[in-house]
Amino acid sequence: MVKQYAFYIDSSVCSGCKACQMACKDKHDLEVGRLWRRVYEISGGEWKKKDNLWSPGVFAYNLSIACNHCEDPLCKKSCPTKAISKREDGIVILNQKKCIGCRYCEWGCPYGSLQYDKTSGTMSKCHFCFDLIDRGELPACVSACPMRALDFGDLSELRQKYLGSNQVYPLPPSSLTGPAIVIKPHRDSTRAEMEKGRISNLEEVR
Amino acid sequence: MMVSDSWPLICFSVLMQMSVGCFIISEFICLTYSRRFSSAGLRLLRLLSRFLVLVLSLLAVALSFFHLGKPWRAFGILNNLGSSWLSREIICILVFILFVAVGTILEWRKVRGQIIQQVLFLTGGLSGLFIVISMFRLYMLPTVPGWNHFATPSIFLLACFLLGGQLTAVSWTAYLDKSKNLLLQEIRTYWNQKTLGQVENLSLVLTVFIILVNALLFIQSGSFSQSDEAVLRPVFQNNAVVLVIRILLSLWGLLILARGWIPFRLFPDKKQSNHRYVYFAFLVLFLAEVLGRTLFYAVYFRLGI
Repeated sequence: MVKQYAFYIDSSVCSGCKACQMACKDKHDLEVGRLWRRVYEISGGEWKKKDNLWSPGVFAYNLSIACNHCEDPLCKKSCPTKAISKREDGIVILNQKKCIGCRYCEWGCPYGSLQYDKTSGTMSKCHFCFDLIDRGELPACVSACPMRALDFGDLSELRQKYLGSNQVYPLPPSSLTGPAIVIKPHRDSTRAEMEKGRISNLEEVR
Repeated sequence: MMVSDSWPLICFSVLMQMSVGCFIISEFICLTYSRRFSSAGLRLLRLLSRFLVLVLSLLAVALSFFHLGKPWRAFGILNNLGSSWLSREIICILVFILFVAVGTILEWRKVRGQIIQQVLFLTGGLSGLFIVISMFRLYMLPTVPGWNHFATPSIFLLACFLLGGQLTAVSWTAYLDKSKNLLLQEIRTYWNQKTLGQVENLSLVLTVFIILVNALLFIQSGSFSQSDEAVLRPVFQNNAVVLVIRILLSLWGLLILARGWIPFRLFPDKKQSNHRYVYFAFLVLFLAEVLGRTLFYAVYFRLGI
């Protein structure tokens, strides 16, 4: 019995193709503006001139983030109607039939996972494709990734298999909500943190 | 968060806090007056205040529904009292409105007595205070640094008593000035000579503290140096002009309260015992608080991605 489902993201091979993002939008029929999975591009650095030579010092990498189905979800604690609950397998789901659309959960989530659905007037979020995994299939994003950069499974098993971290720049401190996520960081993630790399596709993901 | 989307929350929080403050201050004054004046005269002032509080509270709740995507499901909002400050805020509001409504009905039917009034003051006052406490606790999210600091509880509590005191001053002054009821004659004199000045002095002190808190915020916004706070700097600085206008409005309100200074020849000053400065002070301070609350929502910034 899985105790805590989690995603694994290999940021070192993620090409930023957004096939995972599109697969999720396609499966759940999400309109423009609503992204349950978001591919962030983090970039920085600059070209350096020495004498008459310019040498490249830029960096860029991608991070594919959906809901992290946190071990201590702030959204679940905040929700006044108990529309957000955590299954026994750790998946955090949102019951749109209970949601009143107050957007309080959206204010607090540090990963931007809660997204307002204007059509229904309620919040929505990644629910780990629990309908697929309950049938023994893969979540839409995992099966769509051409680089095999995404995986899923029990959090403790993923940690043993891939090692990895649940906090890579520019993600917020994991102590806030205990995200159930394992990330293999890109080689430039430490440099990005030191040099304050920026999210260069903010308009796409917000 | 778009400020234009926040208007229901701005109205709700300002009106609700004003209602709570007005209830606590007016009931306290009535309790102290009950030793000095007849209950028949006090009954009219109690009814006035409680009716105002009831109307404003219900208006605040009605306006808050515009923020919800599914307002007809609002009854479910009490389901998470265990961990959600939003649930707790709503239950406190319901309890507060219930006590005020019961108190109004009892007063209307002339069911009175010192014990009843004291119990009502305590229970209504406490539930009202818990509303304000729940309000600032729900905003103090660990992921929203623009709200998760000392200014949020300070400003919410100060605004509650400032606006409540001002509403009491305006409503009682207007009613006592216009009323020809002989029962209110003695109360009118005492109100004009003593209590109104005390309420305005309280407002003066509260306004000073509000200005100080906002000035501290303004100073602090220029000194962020850590990575997350460095991101906050443009958020605060983009709204610096609004913050300055807000502080200036509060200063103007302070001057009106202290000196009756209204820069229009049409309005005589305080020394001439004309109460027009009371109405003007209320207008200016109310505008300042509405602007301050708008600013509060404008500095929303969430940590993370």
